[in-house]
Amino acid sequence: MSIDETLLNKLSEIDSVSGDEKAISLSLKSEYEGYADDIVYDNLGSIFAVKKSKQANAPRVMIVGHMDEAGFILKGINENGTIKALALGNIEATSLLGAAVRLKTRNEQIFFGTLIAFDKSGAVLDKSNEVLVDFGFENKAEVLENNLMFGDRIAFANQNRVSSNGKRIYSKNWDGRYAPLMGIEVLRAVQDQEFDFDLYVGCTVQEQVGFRGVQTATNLVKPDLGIIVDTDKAFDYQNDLKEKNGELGKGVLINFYDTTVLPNRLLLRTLKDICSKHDLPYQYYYSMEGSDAAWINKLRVGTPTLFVNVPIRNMNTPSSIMDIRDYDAAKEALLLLLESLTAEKIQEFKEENR
Amino acid sequence: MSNFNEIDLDLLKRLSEADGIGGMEREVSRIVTSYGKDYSDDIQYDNLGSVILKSSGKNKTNGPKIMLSSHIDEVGFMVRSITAEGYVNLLPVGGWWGHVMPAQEMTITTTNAEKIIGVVGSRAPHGLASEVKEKVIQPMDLYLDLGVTSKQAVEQLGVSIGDMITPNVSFREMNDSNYLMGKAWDDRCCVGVGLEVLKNLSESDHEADIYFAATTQEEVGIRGARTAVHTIKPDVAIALDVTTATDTPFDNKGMKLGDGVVLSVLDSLTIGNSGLVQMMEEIVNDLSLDVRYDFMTVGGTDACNIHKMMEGVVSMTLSLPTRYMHSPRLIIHKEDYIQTIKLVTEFCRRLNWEKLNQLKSSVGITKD
Repeated sequence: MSIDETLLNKLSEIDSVSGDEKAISLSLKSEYEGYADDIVYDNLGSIFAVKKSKQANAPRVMIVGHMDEAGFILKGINENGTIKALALGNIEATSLLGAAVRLKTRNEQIFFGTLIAFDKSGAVLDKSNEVLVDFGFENKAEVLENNLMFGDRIAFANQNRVSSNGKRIYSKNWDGRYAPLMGIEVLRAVQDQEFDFDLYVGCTVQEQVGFRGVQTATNLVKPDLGIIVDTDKAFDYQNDLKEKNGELGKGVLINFYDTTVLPNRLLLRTLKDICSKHDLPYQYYYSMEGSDAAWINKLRVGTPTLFVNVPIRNMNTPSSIMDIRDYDAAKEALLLLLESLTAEKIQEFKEENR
Repeated sequence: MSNFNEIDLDLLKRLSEADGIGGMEREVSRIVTSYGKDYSDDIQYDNLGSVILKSSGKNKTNGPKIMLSSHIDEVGFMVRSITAEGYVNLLPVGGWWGHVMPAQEMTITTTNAEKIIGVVGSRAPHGLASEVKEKVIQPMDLYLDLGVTSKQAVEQLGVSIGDMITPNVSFREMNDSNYLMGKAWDDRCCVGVGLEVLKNLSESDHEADIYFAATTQEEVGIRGARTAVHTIKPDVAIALDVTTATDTPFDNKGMKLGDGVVLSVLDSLTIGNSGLVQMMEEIVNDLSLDVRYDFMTVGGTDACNIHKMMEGVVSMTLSLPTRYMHSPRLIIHKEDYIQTIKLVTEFCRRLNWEKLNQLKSSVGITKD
């Protein structure tokens, strides 16, 4: 396995429901420090390691994905001791009954709980996007005595597992950990390389709730080229598919369309050519959802944008599934792409549609 | 009535027949630059491909900046996937209705800019169950038939995933030659307006600096106007876009082709600056143009993103009515086209710092 599993497990174990990314940010800071000339933040909490070029006025390349994960926020305490919580992010409703969750209080005490249904039918997510959590409390007073407070975040509590054949990893927060892991691995791999661009590798906040951190991050970095690292939903096994789109184990996604961004055509061809040349598995993908890439692409005077994404099954559930071969292909392709970039190439991407 | 010889029909034909969906507008922007370069002082681009032509007039004074915005992308498709049997599945880029697609010829533009023609598949009516007949096919369920046998044959033609697909339709003057049929009038006829305005202004001594922005990616979410407005940083902006004509047997009332300029008071995403609307009315009066008002409660134009960027831009939309929007064949009327060119040209001639202050005062902004 080429993935740094110890690092992944360490990152996955940290909870980072949207708006509460401090713990993962601190962890990233300590990982980045050995490889970065500087660490910068926007005012919502997005974080970047900066690897400076020796060239003056070098263009800026941004490799970024989000570090927030889907979860819940405490919004009510019932007389019977159950907790009302609002879902943050598009959580898969059918995955929730009996899901194990945990809440960390302001004084860092951890409470484990389980999601319960709000009626006899077994439904867990109601029309207001709320859930009920059983933390073992018997009444409201007990909840308050234990310092649970409005606004506390509640995250899934599953631990990472590797499939017994070693090909796949099950994680509660692949959508939110792929980018932090990839970013660190990229920084390590390029630590001795000199680029003629300033490299910003980092993570954004509040993606799950509407692509917010990426907007402030883009205005901070002002990139000349944006590379998004994120996960996309796999449509590769369901029995009602018209066509497969995003197959586990078939390689990095060449994501040529989503509803909020049209990736740069020359960047798409470049990524595909790199994969072909180096025998890295790749697959075309289109997404009927939006992404952080949209804002990198359209803020200010515009930025050529590319995804280096991988497919996952069970996105935003207590246990999502990634294939390690896809991760490896994505990482290799991303490193080769970085190696091939020059200031002239970056200008070519800007001029592609002229 | 206007003198119809004033306009360049060949320009309209070229603009209509050029292929360019969101993110792949190069064919159109190259027509804009090659035609407009003789009438402008400077050519700029943003990083999404919008092209901006600047005209300072003969005076070269330091006047207010006017942004004229017409989008160059059309609604079309991408190659979504290729079946083993050689059929090309479609991915709509921009809003399509399954009703206007089957049995239409379409063009795939390959990476090497080669044109591959196919036809969208359709069903024979014979023996179709009535519930099938009465249902509209979803665009995602339609495919292009290239008349080849296999996936390999499609790939040998140079077709790859993500390639652009657009209707294969020739420009045509109709039986009354005032009516012009073609694809992509949304928004290529307004690209024509922008270029004709630049031509009219090239020998003029206007005070304002005119920036004609041919913007990208409007149909997929008004993206190019965003990046273009940051490139220009205008004081005033006029979005030029089409609106739905409602003068056919389907509607039989309302917006008619050929009845003159259309002032858009609001659409679902923008409220026009009222001073700007009034200034347009003055010009309409002075030039004896015909005028209608538009209140489009569905959809928006480039103005949506222009007016609220940065610290805000005084903006409105001027519309050109078209029949059969977002279909392979649209019909517009020369009279509307010519009157809109006249109105925009005169607006650009008249706007100066004093007029700009009047426009701003219409929203209460006062200068000491």
